[in-house]
Amino acid sequence: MNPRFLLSGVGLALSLGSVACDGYVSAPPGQAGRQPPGSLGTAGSTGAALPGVATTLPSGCDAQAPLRRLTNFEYARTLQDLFPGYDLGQTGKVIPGDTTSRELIFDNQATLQGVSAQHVDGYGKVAERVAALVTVDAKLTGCEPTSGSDDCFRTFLKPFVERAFRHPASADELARITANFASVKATLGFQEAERAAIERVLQSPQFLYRLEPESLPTAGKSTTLTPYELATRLSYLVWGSMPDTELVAAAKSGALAEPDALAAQVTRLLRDARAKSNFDYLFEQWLNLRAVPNLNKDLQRFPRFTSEIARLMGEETRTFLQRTLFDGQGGVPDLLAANFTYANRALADYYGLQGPASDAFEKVPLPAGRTLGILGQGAFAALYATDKTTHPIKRGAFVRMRLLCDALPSPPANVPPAPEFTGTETARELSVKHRAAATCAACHDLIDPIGLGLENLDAAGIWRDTDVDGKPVDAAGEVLDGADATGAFVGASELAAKLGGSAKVRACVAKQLFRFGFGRDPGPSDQCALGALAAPTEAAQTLDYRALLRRLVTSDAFRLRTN
Amino acid sequence: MSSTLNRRRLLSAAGFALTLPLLPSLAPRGARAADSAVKRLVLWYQPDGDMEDKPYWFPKGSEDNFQLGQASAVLEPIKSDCIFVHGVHNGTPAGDCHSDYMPNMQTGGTRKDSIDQLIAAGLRSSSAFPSLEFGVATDREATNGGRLSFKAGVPLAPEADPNQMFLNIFRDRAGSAGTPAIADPQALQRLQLLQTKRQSVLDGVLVELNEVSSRVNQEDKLRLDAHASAVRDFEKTLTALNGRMAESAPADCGTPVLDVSSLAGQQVWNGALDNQSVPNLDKIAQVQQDLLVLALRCDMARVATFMYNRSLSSQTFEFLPIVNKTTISHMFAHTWRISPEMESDFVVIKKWRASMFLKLVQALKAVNDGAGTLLDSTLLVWICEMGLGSHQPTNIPFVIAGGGGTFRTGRFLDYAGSGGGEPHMKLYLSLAQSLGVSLSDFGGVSTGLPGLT
Repeated sequence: MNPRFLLSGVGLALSLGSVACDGYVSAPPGQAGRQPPGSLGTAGSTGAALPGVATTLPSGCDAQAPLRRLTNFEYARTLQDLFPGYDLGQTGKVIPGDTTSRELIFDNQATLQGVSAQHVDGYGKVAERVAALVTVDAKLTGCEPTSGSDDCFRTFLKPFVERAFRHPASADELARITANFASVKATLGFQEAERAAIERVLQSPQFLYRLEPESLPTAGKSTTLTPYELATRLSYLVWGSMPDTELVAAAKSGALAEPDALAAQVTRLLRDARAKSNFDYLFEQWLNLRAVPNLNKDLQRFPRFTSEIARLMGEETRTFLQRTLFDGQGGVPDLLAANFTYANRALADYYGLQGPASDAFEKVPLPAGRTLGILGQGAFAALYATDKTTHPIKRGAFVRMRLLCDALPSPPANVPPAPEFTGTETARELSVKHRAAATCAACHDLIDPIGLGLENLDAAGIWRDTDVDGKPVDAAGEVLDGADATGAFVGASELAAKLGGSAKVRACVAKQLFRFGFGRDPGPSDQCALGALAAPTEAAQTLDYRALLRRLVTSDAFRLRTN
Repeated sequence: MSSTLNRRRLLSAAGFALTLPLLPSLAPRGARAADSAVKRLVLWYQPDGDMEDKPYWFPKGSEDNFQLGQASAVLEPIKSDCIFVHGVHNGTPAGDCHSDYMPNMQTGGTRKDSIDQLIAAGLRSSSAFPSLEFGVATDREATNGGRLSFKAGVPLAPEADPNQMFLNIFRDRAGSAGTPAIADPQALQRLQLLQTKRQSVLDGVLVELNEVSSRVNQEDKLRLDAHASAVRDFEKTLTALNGRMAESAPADCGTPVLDVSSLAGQQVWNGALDNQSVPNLDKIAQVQQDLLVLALRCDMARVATFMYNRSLSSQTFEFLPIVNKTTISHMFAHTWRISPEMESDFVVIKKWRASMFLKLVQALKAVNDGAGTLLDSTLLVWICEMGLGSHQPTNIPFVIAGGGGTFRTGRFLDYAGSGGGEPHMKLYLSLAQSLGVSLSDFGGVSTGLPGLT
């Protein structure tokens, strides 16, 4: 058994003590008393664990933390922050894309982060390119490119490794890299040796993974993260990138353990542009926005739907989500209760809305009776449609899986082929035909009637009162087996109101944030954290992602880890 | 000019500059005389299955006397090189047609190793790469329906950018002239030293992986150990590539260059984001197929997969003479019956797909390999994860081409009558057996497809 593992488990902290002489006045895991138990006692925090002291959290309050590899998104951002001022190009493109599944919709899920030889190849290629780029002059390393001294290299190496590895470098870590440097220098000279060191760091697990070895408790127990581990979790949660100098300083001084200082750091991080783009990335995965700008529609039926309109529809929903969920101009309830959207002149003209006079996006009221939130936006209505017709199955499945967090079962084996559109019948007629077979109805009764209630939105995202058969749109719908969202409704506004007031939807919003934040699907042992995120508050209308993040950061699930 | 400079030039020119025709006359040096047995496998994938109740794909007639369908008639010039298969179904648990059919089919339901990877591991060949994964408008991000190769449960990413694929395969040799591959002894020595550096860096990465894996829990340790295993796999490839550079008589493929003149002025695709349609699909497909042939000719891999789009594809076909130019691939599969134009458009698309298969077969036939051609030493199999487009696992329109007599070609094999058809696992087992790889079991099946040889 590794001694470091044991020591941290019993709180002796000798391992970090050994690096204190390297300039880090660390707050080692065993330094009890720095943080009063329960001092962060909001949102489900039990305060049960002292730093570095193994404890057992109550049932339903675990803090499991499977090892997480940097996603391509995080990897590219981390490299950019590690080498500020360099144009690194699109570093993620030679590395295999991240993996998602039908249920695990975010690209950062630990269980899907396996590594193949292709990853090894890609990481090597990027490391070689970056190392070559940053060693052409002395700007980064401080060393003459071809004739630097070993002393110069060592002076560069230590702070570089500590930034790249996001923890104080151990003497062993530095010695291993230095030995590699020396052997390459003997055959290829200083510059290639320096590059070899940088390449090694950029391919090492300490860089590619978010390791938390210092806080690893014994099986079944929980401990508080070290300040460096907490700083790393925080910066990747809010920024999708490595901690900056100020956050590292807060970890180093021990200040991060103080609730006020932690809260101040969260506030500071949220103000940075990286926070905004990181959550834009969350929203685009959650609500499937990436495909929107590439939508095509049949030009005969929808002559006004251009690629520019598709692009603007994506922009509309991104702007809406940023303003209402992140910029303090709304809250989570607006997601489904907004009677407004954001549009510029071209998009407002397309929708037939009054308002904007310029190319800038601004808040635009929807006509009376259309309180739709995102359900009324083109990014949703046009994406979940074919190029010619609406697609109530896709719309219903979106609501079911992305807003209600229901896992839809796969079709049973050997189901008969679904009836196909003839082009003249309505989507409702087709759905009724489809659900006449009991094997199909078992699932499609859960899906189709939700989508059928949205038939006022045509395949190109425009409000319509008349269906393809020339008759008024029949927008009767029903949510079956949807907890407090269950029941019949007529039209998109009634569905939006039903979903907007539903605790099941609120729990789903919490669950999606949990998945994004922790890189895994929550289980029965995560009820504390989920409950804290989903709890209704008096100021529900202003509950946005900044507030949700504060809840998440102060939860035990975030500050502790359970083995 | 040193090969390093060549390589840089190629990179900086985005690959548009260097073009040389792929002359068959450059090819035969790599031949291993007297070794005429089949030694390569290429799985070639197109989505969307077949329009089964219409006479477009499956042949009519007997095993040796049959007529092709309207779309498959495109393959008439190579009819004698092919076996057309009917009545073979995806025999693994069905699951969701888009996210589950493909990984289940390719791995025999285990979700661990796909058939191409099992065969690649079994071949233990001297080629540089155990396998190569080509893509045409495949997604950068992996969803289960978007990958057909899996190794130890990790989906392998097809590379959709011809420039990147070219550099992946040929590395420092890319664009270099002459035999040995790198003629300038000084340039060769430096490249070898750089390769040594790469090895030492990777050895260092293994040390770090080993170091940290002792400080994590058991689950995380398994993942770090798998990462280390991937590093060791890649080190083998690097070692093989390093050896190739110094060979005085390598499996000569002339001067490896990428002919992308057909893409001049166009976007070279770098992987679709989230199922995006690629406007110049046809042109990129041709360059990638040329590159596949080049890679096989140079013996860079014995196993390759070649994937067009994916299940649930959003690809449109505006480059073809069709009416519905905004309709996506997946919707054609579902709704081709809604109008005569949709139906005839879908047939045009199927014909185009067949024409790309035809071109690949003809290109392989044009390259000598030992006593025969590259087609003789290669088993090329057209696969699909479903049969009827919307969306049955039955009657997958498999076509087997080449193999130099491993299987008797020029036949139509219809298994539909024999007790509900045969599971595809039997076909995959037969492929493995014919390549000398004995798998005792694939997806719960232990015998090959009857009547294939």
